[in-house]
Amino acid sequence: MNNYLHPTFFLRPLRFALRAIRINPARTLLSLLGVVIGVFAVVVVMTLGDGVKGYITGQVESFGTDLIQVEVKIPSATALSQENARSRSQGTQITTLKIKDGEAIGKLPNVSAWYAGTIGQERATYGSVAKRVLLFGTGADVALVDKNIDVISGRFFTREEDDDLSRVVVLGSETKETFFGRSNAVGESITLKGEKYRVIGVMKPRGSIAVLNLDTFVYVPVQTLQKKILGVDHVQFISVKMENVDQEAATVADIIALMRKRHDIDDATKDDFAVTSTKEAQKTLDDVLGSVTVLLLALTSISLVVGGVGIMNVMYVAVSERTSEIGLRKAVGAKSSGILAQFLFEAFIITLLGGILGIALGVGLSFGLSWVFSELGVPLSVHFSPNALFLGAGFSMIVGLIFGIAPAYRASRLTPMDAIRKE
Amino acid sequence: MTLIATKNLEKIYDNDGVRTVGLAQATFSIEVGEFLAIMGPSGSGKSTLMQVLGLLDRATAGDYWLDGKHIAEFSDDELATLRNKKIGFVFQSFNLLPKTSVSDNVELPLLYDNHPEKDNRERVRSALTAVGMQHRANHLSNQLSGGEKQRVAIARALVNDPDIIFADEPTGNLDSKSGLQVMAILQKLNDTGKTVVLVTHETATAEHAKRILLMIDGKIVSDTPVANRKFADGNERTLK
Repeated sequence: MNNYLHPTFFLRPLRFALRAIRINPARTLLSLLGVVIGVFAVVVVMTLGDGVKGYITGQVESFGTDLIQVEVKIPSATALSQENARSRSQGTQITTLKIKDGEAIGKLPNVSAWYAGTIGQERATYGSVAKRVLLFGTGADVALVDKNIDVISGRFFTREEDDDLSRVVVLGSETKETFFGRSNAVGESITLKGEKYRVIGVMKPRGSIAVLNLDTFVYVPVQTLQKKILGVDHVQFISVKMENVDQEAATVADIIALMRKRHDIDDATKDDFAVTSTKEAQKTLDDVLGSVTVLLLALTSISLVVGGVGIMNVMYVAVSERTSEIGLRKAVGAKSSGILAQFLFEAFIITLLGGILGIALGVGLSFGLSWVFSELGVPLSVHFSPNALFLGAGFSMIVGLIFGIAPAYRASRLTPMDAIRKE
Repeated sequence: MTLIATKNLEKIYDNDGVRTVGLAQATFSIEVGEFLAIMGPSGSGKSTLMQVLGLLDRATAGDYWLDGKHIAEFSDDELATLRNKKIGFVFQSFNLLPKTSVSDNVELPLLYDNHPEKDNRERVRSALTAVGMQHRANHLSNQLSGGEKQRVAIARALVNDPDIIFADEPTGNLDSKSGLQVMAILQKLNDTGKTVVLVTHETATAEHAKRILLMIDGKIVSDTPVANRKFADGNERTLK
């Protein structure tokens, strides 16, 4: 008598559910909305999250994955800690990192090139144009380490010019525009701290990293910057290029050991420097971006749950609105299980539709935003992420089932005589 | 042949400790082919009796045999199947599915048994023909007048070829002309052999039946044949 395996046991409730959904388009649309918004948010966070991650990873990789960065830091603080950032922003200067450290690192095995760098700000003038510029002091070997260093006209400075404290500069492409417009800059001089500096080259445009516009830099030989402009003899970082990236861990350890020896440090907590490889930095970034994505997903999932509560609400209303329909169905032979299946299918199909719509809108917006960002010069590549689709669709169906059960169960428990009231 | 037999059938409602007698000690039987009216003022228990007889509700005590089956022994799902196969219902408020076509409404009981659907269309058509509504098959239920709705509801009650039709105040929401049409259809169905149980509070309606059970306060106070039976189509006929 109870043939639950008969195909009609599922197909007929499914058909009734589809009919109910079709004949109440306004109700269906309203109940969809919450799920659409929830799935939409999840999909946008996932696809854009992937895009942003890819973009940032690409930026880091553009410097080369075979680099190790040695930076100054406040002893006892970690390089990326708030304490380090705060102390340094409040003017605490660590003056222990020297070009000699770089020379020593350059003699370590697996080190193919290095340069020391430091940064300063100064007012530069040319004719009637005056502007505060960011001075980027580097060793002449910077091009051996940073593959993006390239001039579009003129040349980069030499080791001799650095050692001789020559007053030469290479302009970032935007700074060149600022001072010289379209006319030739190479051979002209700009004034820094009252002294003339000869422009010997102009850099190829490089774009920005986050908020830092590399094209506004003025490149100066690092020793010239130290001695003639800043009046210091320390540097802020040393960039090291490896021969073989597979030996990264050993090279990092070598550098740390060497630096401790040179700086007379016997305790890791007293390190006045931090050594970070690109790979490590990438991993840290990945971790941070990963956590941000998870957090955003958790937040957007809440909207999906709210959507589910909306479905539940609508389904409860549907059950009480359709009490007499349920009663009639029972009177003509519907079993409780059939009514349960019908209302569960309704909730399920509504959320599935919502999921599909949400995915479509989410993917659409993601591609739209990626286009807008590309137009703004930030190439975010957005992929049609199968994860986002499965998560969006899966989430919505689960939400439909979970929040559909209670109203469907109530519908199935109505007795036919409760349901057929005289109106 | 006896279709329905009851013995000391009783229904007591218990609402948070307040006991109300809906039906007390009802013992009677209905033969195949009868046209019985259950009559009484509101609150007399006539609807309760119909719900118990129609397997929409269970008695709290006593025995009920439908077509020889002892109903108390059946599960809820089995009762649903019995309702589907043996019983047709007509309600005062029609209870058609809204925004759904006439033929889909009539087909509904056929979709709750496991038979193949290939002859559904033919069964729906002949049920609609029996109530004179075949020309409205593709209209939506909300496009019909009250009388038409009730005729569609009767077609729905007929479509499974049930042994018995329960009609609960079928003319209650209708004007007198439509009401007479509905009574004429019920009488015609009875003439073709269907057992009909009519619930009404109006003597004039009850007199279309062959026999009247009068109920007051949950008790059957009289059980009498109708002496001057009315015929809704205006044709006098002799009682069988």
